[in-house]
Amino acid sequence: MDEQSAQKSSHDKALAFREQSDEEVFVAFRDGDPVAYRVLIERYHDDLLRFLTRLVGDRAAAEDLFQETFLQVHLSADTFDEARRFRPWLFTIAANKGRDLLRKRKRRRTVELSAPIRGSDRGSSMVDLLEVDVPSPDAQMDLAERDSLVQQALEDLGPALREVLLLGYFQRLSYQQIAEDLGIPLGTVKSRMHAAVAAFARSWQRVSRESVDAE
Amino acid sequence: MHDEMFESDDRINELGSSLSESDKRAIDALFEDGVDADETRATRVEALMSLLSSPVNEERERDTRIAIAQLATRREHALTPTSAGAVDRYIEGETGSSSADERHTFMAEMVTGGAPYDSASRETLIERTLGAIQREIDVSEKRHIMDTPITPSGRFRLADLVSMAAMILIAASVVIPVMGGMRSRELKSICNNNLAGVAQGFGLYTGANRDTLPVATAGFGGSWMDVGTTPDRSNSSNLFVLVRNDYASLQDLACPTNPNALVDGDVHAMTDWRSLDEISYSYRVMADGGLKATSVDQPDRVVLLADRSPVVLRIVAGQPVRPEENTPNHDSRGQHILGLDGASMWTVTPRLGQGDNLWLPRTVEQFIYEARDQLGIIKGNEAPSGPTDAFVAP
Repeated sequence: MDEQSAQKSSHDKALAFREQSDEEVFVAFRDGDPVAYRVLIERYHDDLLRFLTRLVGDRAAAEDLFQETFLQVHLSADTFDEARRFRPWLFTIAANKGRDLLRKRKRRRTVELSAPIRGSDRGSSMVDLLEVDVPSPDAQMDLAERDSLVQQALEDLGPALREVLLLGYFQRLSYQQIAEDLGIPLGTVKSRMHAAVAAFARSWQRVSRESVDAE
Repeated sequence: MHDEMFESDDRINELGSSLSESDKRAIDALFEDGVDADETRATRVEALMSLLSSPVNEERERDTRIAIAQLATRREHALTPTSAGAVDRYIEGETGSSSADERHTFMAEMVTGGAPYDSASRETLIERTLGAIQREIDVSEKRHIMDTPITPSGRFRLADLVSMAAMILIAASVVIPVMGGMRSRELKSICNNNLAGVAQGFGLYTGANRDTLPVATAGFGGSWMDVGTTPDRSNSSNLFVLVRNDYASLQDLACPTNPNALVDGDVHAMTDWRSLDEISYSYRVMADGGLKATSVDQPDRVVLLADRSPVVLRIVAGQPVRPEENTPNHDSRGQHILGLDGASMWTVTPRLGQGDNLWLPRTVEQFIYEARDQLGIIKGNEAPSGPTDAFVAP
C-alpha cells in the first residue's frame, strides 16, 4: 500500500470510529488499531485537559498529566471491563494522577496543622444557589476572565472537595454508580457532592465579588 | 470521588473508640447525613471532640483539631433542600426546570466548560501523547525481545537431561558464535530504533521551540564535559532537555550495549545524567546561542547524535586520544549516527565525508594526528567550526 492510500485508509477508519461509542473504539485500540487511540485522545482532549487543569491548577502540569493518563490507559488496557463505561474509568485514572501530583506538591510545602481551614466561618447559614451571583448564560462575560475566576474559586475549595466536585461533574455517573464504585453509602456520596457544590458556590461568590470590587 | 481524600473521617473513627455509644452514633449520623445534620448535634460532637484534647498528648490534640476543623467545614458547606434537589437531578441526569436547576446547571457548565483550546496546542498535545505511547510500545517490544528465553522449558527425566546436555555441548561450539552474531544484530537494531524515537522527539521539540535544538544553557562556563555537574558545564544536559520535557525517554537514550545506561529515574527532578558512564549517546556540541534547525542548508550533513564518544572517555580516564577509534558501544564495531534530517546510519569508522572526524572539532583534527600521544589535547571548551563540522560529546 503506498503512502497516499495508507493515509486515506486511516482517514476513513477515523471517520468510521467517530460513529462508534467510546467502548467500541477502545476495544479496537486494545486489539492493536493505532487510529482508534488517536480518535479517543482527540475525543477527550478538551474535557480531560479541562478537568486536569481545574484539578491541579495549572495548564503545563495538566498537559503532563494528560499524557500520563493516556499512557496509563494504554498500560492498563487489559484490565478494562468492557461491560463498564470508558469515560468514568478514564477520569478515575486522571484523578489518581492528579492526586499523586498534589500529594507531591504538598510534601514540598510545610503544612501548618494548626492553621484554620480556609473559608471556615462558624454560624454560617446553608447555601441557597438562587442567592449566588452566577452570571446568566447570555451575559457577555469574558470567557478567559470567567475561566480564571472559576479556577480561583476551585483552588479555595481544597483538594478533597475540589476532586469530589470535578468528578461529580465530569465523570457523569449516577450517585448509585459512584457509591458502588467507591463502596460507600449512597447518603455519604450525596452529602459529599452537596458539600462540594455548596463550598464552590460560596467560594465563587467571594472571588466574583472581589473581582467586581477590584474593577 | 475517592474515599482516601476524607482521611479525617478515619481519624474520627479512631478517636471514636473513646466515646460513648450515643456520641458515636451522633458522629456517624453527622458524617453519613453530612451537611443535613442539625446544628445542635454538630455543636455537641464538637464539644465532645474537644474533651479528647489533652495537653500531654500532642498527637491526640492535633487529631482532635483536625477532626473539629473538618466538622466545622462539612457543616458550613451545606445546601438548602431546593438547591440540593437541583444538584441531585443534575447528577442523576434528570431534567429539572426550576430556577435552582437552571442556576446549578449553569454553574456546572462554568466548571466543565471554558475558553476553547487553540488547534495548534491541541494538536501538539495529541502528538506528544501518541509519541509517548509509541515510545512505551517500542520499549516494551525491546524488553520482550531481550527477555524472551532461548532455553526450552518443561519437565524431563534424568536420561533426557543427560542426552540434552551432551547435545548442547556438541552444538555449543557451532551455535554460540552464530547466536552472538544474531544478538549483536538485535542490539544494533534496538539502538537504531532508539535513534528513530529520539529523532521524532527532536522533531516535536524543534516544532514547539521555534526550530531551536534543545539547549539547557546559553553557553558553557569553560567546559562541556563535566557530566552531572551544572548545565553550563555539561553538554549532555543539553540533550537531557528532551528527556526532562518528555520528548524522549531515558530508555530511548539507553543503548542496550552500555551496561551502565540509566533507564529509570525521576527525570523531571533531574537536569543531566549523573555520570559519564550512564550516557549512551553523544550530542552535537553547539556554539553559544545554540543552533536553529531551519538555519542549516544541508541538514543531512549535520550530525545531531551518535553512539557515545570514546575520545571523551579516554580524556576523562587520563589516557591518550585515539581519534580513529569507534564508540565502545556495539563492541567497538562501529556507531550509529543521527542526522538533522532525521535519518540514522551505521558507520564502521568515525571518519565521515571529507575526512571529518565525528569525535573532534575541525580545529583540533588539523593537528591531533601529529600530537595524538599528548595528554589533554581536548580541554572541553572547543566548539565546531560550523554546522557541517561533525563533533559530538561526551
